Parts: sequence; structure tokens; C-alpha cells
Amino acid sequence: MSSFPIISSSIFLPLLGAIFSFFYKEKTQNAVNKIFYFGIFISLLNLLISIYGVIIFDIENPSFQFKELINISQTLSINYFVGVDGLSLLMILLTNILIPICFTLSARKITNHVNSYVAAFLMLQSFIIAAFSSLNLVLFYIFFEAILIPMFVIIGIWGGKDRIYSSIKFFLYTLGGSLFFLIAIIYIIISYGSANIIELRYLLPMVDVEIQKWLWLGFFLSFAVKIPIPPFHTWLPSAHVQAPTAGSVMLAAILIKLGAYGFLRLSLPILPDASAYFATFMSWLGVIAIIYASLIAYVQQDIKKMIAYSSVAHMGFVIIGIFSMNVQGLDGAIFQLFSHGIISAALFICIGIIYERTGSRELNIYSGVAHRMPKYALLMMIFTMGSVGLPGTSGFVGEFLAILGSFKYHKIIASCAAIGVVLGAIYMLHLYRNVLFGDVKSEKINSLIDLNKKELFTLGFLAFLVILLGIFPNLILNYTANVSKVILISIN
Amino acid sequence: MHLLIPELTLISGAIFCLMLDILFVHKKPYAQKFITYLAAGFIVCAIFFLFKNYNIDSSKIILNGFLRINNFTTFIKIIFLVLLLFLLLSSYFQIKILQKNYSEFLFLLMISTAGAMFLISSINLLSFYVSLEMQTIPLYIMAALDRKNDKSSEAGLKYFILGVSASCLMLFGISMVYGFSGQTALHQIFADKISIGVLFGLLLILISLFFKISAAPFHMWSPDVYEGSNITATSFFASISKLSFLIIFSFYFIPATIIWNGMEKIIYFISILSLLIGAFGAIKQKNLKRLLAYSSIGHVGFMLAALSTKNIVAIHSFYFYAITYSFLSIAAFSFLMIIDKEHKYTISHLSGLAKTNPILAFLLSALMLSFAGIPPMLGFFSKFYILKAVIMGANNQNFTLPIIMITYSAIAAFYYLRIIKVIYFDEANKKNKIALDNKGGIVVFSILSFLSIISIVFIEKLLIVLNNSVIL
Repeated sequence: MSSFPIISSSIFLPLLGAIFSFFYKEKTQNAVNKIFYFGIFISLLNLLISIYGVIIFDIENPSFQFKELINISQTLSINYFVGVDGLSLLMILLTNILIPICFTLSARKITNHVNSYVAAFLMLQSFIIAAFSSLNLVLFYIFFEAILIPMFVIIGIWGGKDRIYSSIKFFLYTLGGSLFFLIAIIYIIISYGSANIIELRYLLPMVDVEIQKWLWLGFFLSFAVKIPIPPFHTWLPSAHVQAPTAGSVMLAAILIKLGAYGFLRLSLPILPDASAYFATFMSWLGVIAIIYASLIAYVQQDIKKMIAYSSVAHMGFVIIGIFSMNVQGLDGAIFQLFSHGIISAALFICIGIIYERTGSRELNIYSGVAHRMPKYALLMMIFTMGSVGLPGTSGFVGEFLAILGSFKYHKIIASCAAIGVVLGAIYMLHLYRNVLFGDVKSEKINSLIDLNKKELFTLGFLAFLVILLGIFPNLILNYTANVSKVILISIN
Repeated sequence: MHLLIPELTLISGAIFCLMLDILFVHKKPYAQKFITYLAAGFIVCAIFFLFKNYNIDSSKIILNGFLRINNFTTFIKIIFLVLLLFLLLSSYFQIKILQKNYSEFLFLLMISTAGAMFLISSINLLSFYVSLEMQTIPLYIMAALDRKNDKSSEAGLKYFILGVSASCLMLFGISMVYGFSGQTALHQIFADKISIGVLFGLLLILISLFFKISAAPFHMWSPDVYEGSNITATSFFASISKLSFLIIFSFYFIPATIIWNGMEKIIYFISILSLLIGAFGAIKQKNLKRLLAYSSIGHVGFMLAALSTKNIVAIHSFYFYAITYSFLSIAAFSFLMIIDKEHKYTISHLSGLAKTNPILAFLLSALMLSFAGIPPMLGFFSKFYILKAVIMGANNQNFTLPIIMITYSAIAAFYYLRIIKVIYFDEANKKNKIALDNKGGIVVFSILSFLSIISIVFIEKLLIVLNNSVIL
């Protein structure tokens, strides 16, 4: 084991990059602002650190690795205690893959306040990695909330027409949910005397089930707004539609996963009796999410809103998997977190590409795009099939395992979820057929240019990942095996 | 007697500056600049003497039982003087605005601060009243000092009439306490079993103090007074004056709540009312000074919620919140002093600040997030500490107070966020470009905002210093 602080360097490198790029002044006007190269460089360095971490990570060891501890405050029970296990490692890897892609694709599109843009994304990356790797409850809360600040700025400055409304709604909604989480955290600190997540897993018998249920509800409100679970999902469509492309990618691929990560890391191990009590309730909420969101996605006219609702639907599978309380379900949920991160990122990039070319996201103006953009059509097909859950793509593995896990205990719920898969196919194929197939009907579509090298490379890389994980799912499942076992030990 | 040297330094400095001003009546404003440096020099000497006082181990009672000097009061006095220095540094520009009255303004600031220093040391009802008047009478004059502005006269009149009424209530309360207990020394009053008359008198004193800290429903004066007064006067009201009132309030309230159970219910009610008024009152405000007044009502409600529980963590968290809030207040008002031009302090004046001045905009956003209590800023840690105290005191039974507190946080986050929105998302305000000639204000604002961003680094040291010095 090397003593190189992998996690701290992952957190502080983008933070220093953000400070540097905030103060950077561009001397000459170029087509691509030089600060983007700096941003890509820093995030690629972070990706290398992450890959190094994955390589030296010990799969057999179920405990947290690369731990670092700095005492900050005894009175406030805050410590800089970070470490990763398989789940955190996967999420951090996902973040580090997606941020360079965000920078690459927005390099030519963003022209105002460019250095603040790069600074905001690097700050976002730093806070997300810190949130995923923190093992102290209060530190997790601090970074969970701090993520809202750069996201608020990203949506509000570089977003669409209605961006101010949606960014404030996003901020206040998420903040409101998290404040109940804060009360639950403080109660835990007072009763247990420790905010250390590892210790809390063993201290749980002290608190009786009624109190556990209230604490669980406090946790639930915050994660439910984040995931989002209907009826707390109304911030998501407006935030996604108004955010810039790269902002939507980060929102859908990473920020949403924080809610599910919260359930996996906090609710299930620390409050297992309450989680078992609420499991059926949560599984029903998951099924409602899948079916409701799929049905609403089908009638959308705005493509980005359709994909936003599809995110809600896919997270329903994650919820079903998490609360199935067995190994297959948990494995499926974690796999779905990673695979949905890639697929939804790719879908938002695809819609961003045609939005930038034509200036509109309305479904009815598009038809026959495949005639003019065949490479785009092929890649979009792979992502559509991944979203639907076609075997051979990574989307299948996660959904299949989640439904399989859930079937053991809640047969009706699993059957409804399976119906939800069909509904997912309905709106995705509807989208694909309307946009890409058919005849070229308008001049705008006729003059579309196919993907340039940058877009081809990034989308191709994501498509490769989707197919690779579909054929060799063990690449991810090896890392999730220990995570699921440890969570289930607490529950049983 | 030598323990009072800091206060005496301050008072003599004030008088000396006023004398010099009269002598050099022909050479203003050079004389006024020199007088400002002189005043700052006296304040630094006073801080130095306070540090020399800091090493005493136990409380020393002086002046025949009127004043008490211990580590805690010395610590708070140092904080007063540091805040006063920051205030002086950022209000240099008042020389042009107040002209003839500038030196009198300095005099009033220093006398009021000296009064605050006597106030927190007082342990006798008589010295309490005298030092309270020594502190508040300069405040009434400061509120009305900007004679060219008629809002200032209105503010001064309102503050004077209402403040004097509150002082009358306090005198009535003091006389009742003395009448029914026969003592004026505080520790003797609280030591005996107190009768209903003493309790009534105490309640009147506390109501008067509620008025001074602008807790609801005694808060009506603060938005008008904050809006009308001179910006330096408002800044002094919101930081040093409020801190001193909060501390003396705690010295009266905490023994009273130990003795009588009804105090808890009273402060519970008042804190909830303050939280609600602080949250909803500021939503419609367009003037930044009024917005900060309503926000301070909300923050006071938050602090009072901590006092409704009876544990030691609550008292520490109360003092920590009060001290950090006063520093954040000075930072916010120093920002207003930077953009001060024709006294326009509306929110729309700030629109598009990010395009003209990105660093200033970033620091202001960080300060607003700190006020709102968003991690990782300083405001979050003080809120966290108070929430911890309140939940400890809830004893698994009644969680309405924490829930109202977090509802307040969520609603209040809106108007702080609106300021950030106006800075970053709105079009640049081409009519009033911000002239950055208030160098002192920029220095104070930048230092304090930067410290509130990186506060996680030194927060434990602050907490340890505070917890070691708190003695009741």
C-alpha cells in the first residue's frame, strides 16, 4: 500500500485548479479559451489518479481503503476522515471520466465568463469526490450541501431562458430536504457521540426502533429530493431543461447518484431496522417512479425533458434494487448507478449536439436526422438500447439484477417494474423514431453536419464503455460484491 | 484600579480627540485624518492593556462590588475593540460626508464602546443602568447625526423615543427588584429565594433588553432605524452594540431561567416569533439595510432558541454565534460602505456586479452564503453548534423548535440567494458604476469574507479559546 494520499490529491487538485482558473485572465482572444485546456489537463490528471486507485484497490478487502484522518473539531464532531470502498471508488471513477468529457464538449460553446465556468466545474468535481469519499457524517453533509453552490451558479449563468427560476428552485428544494437530514445527523451525534460512519455501523443497537424510524425519515427526505423520488421530483425537469449541456450531464450522471449513495452508505448500514421496516414502502415508491415517469416521458414535446423523466424512471430501478435487501438487488442497484451515469450522460450529450446545431429541442421539428448524421444515429442507437435495457448493453445488467433481487420478496413490485421496462422502451423508441427515422422534412435538418472528431471520440468512448460493461459486467460487479455483503451483514 | 485602564484609555482618547478637533478647527480635513489615526492608536493601546489583563485566574471584583473583571469579559472587550478598529478602517470616507461632525462621531463611537465595556463587566443593578445609559445615549445621537438626510432625523427620533421608553421600563423593573429584595448586587439577588415582585421586576428588565436586541415582538424600531441612520452608525448598531446587549441579556437571563421555569416558555415564544418575522419580513425588502435589519431579527431568534434549553453547550453556542455574527455583520456593512454613493443601498444597485468586479462579487456571495448557513462557510458551523444545543435540550420530546429553526433557515436562504442571483445573473447596472475609492472598506471586507470562507481551518481554535474563557 503506497502512502501517497490518493483521495486528498483527488479532492484538492481540482480545488486548486478552480482557484487558479478563477483568477486567470485570458490575454488574447482565441477560438478556444486556453483555460479549457488547463481544465482538461487537471481533470485528466484526476482521472489518472483515479485509475491508479482502481488498480491498486484490493478487491478482496471489504473494509475502507486509502483512509486519511485529520482532526478538525472535537466540539462539532467534524473530522476530515475519508476513505473508499468499491461503491465510492466506482462513483469517483465515474465523476473523473465525465468531467474531462464535459470540458471537451463545452470548449467552443461557452464564450462568457469562461474562467468562472472552468472554476465552477472543477470546484464541483472536488466537492463531489469529497462527498463520495467522506467517512464522517458531518463532513458528508458539508460537501453534500456545498455541491449546490457551483451547480446553482452553472445553471444560473450559462443556462437557458428560464434558468433563474429553475436554479433557485433546485437550490431551495434540495436545501429544504437536507435540513431535516441535518437534524437527524445532530441527533445521531448526540446519542452515539460519534459521527464516524464506520463506528456507527457497530453502535446501532443502542437506539430503539421507533427513534430509528424517525431518523430514517429525516435521512429519507434529503435523499428523496436528490434522487428524485416522486413526489419530490418537480425540480428535476426544469433544472435539466434549463441547464447547459455539461451541467445537465453532471446533474443527471453524478448529482442524482448522491441520493442513492446516501441510502446505500448511510440509511441501510446505520439504520437497518428502519430500512427493513420501510423496504416495501420504498419499493412501491420505486415502482411508481418507474411507471409514472415513463408515462410522462412519453408525452413530452421537449426532448431534454423526456430524457430528464427517463432519469427519474431509471433511478426507480435503483431504489427497487436497494430496498430488495439481497445481494443481487444491491449489486444491480450499484451497477445501475454506474451504467445509468454513463448512458444518461451520453443521452444528454446527444441532445445537446443536435440542440446546438439547430437551436431547438422540440420533438416535432425533427425527423430524418439519420440521413444527414449517420454516425450520430449509430451511437445514439447504442445509447437508446442501453437506456431501454437491451441485453448486451450495460443497461440490461443493472435492471435485470435489480428486478431479480426484488422478485424474491416483493413479487408484485418486481412484476410492475418489469412492465416499466416495456414502458421505457416505448418512449425511447418513440424518441428515436421521431428524431432519426423518417424523411428529411425541413431545411434545418437538411443542413445538419455530422459529428466532428471531438464529439465522435467522446461519444464513441462512452458507447464502448456501455457495450464493454454489457458484455463483461464483472468488471464492475467485482467491486460491488463486498459492498453488498457488508451492507447486508448490518441488516441481518 | 489598574484593571480599568483599557476603558479609561478609550474614554481619554475620545475626549482628547474631541479637544484636538476643537483646537484645529481651521485645518480640517487634515486634522480629521490625524484624529482618526490618533483614535486608532488609543484603541490599539486599549487592546494591549486588555491583553495584559488576560492572565488573571479568577474574577476580580472592583469599585465596591460594581464591576467584575475576568477572562471572559476581557475576551469580549478585545472583540469589541477589534470590531471598532474594523469599523473605523472602513468608515474613513465619512470625513467627507459628516464634515464638521466627524470628530464628534468618533467621540460618540468610542464613548459608546467604553460604555459597552463597562456594561458587560457590571454585576450590580446601579452600575448596569449607568453603563447601559452610557452606551445607548451616544447611539441615539449617532442615529440622528447625518443632518442633511431627513430619514436620519426620523430614525434618531424613533430610536430615542422608543429607547428611552424601554429604559424607563428597565428603571421600573430595577426599582421593583430593589424594592422587593433589598439588594442591588446581582449575585445576592439571585442567591436568595426570589419573590414574585423580584420576578416581575426581572421580567421588566428582560423585556427592555429584548427591545435592545430587537427580538420580536419588540423589533419594530430596527428596520426603520437601520435604514435611516448613517451607514457607520447602522454598522455599529448591528455589531458591537448588539453583541454587548446579547451578552448582558445572557447574564440576566441565564440565572433567571434557572430560578423560574416560566422563562423557558417566554423565550421559546419570543424566539419562534423572531424566527418567523426574520424569515418572512425580509422577503419583500428592496433596501439592503432593511434586509439586514430583518435578517438580524431572525439571527437573534436563532440565538434565543439556544437559550431556551438549559445546558452548558447552549450557552457556549450562544456566545459563539453572537461573536461570529457580529464579525459577519461588520463584513456585510463594510461592503455597503464600499458601494456607498448618494446613500443608495437598494438591491438593484448591485445588479451585474459579477461582470464589473468578479472578486468582490465572489466574496459577497460567500458572505451571503455564510449568513444563510450554507456549508462550508462560517455561518454553517455556528448554526450547527446551536442546532446541536437545541436538539440536546429537546430530550426526545418536543422537536418543534428545531423544525421551526430549519424552516427559518430554508426560507431565509431565499433572500440571501436573491442577492447572489442579482449579482451574478442580472444585467450590469450601467448607471451607477461602483467607484472603489473606499480602500479601507475593501480591505476589511476582503479579509473578513476570506476568513469566513476558510474558517473550517481555525474553527477548533476559536471554539477552544471561547470555551476556556466562558465563566458566568
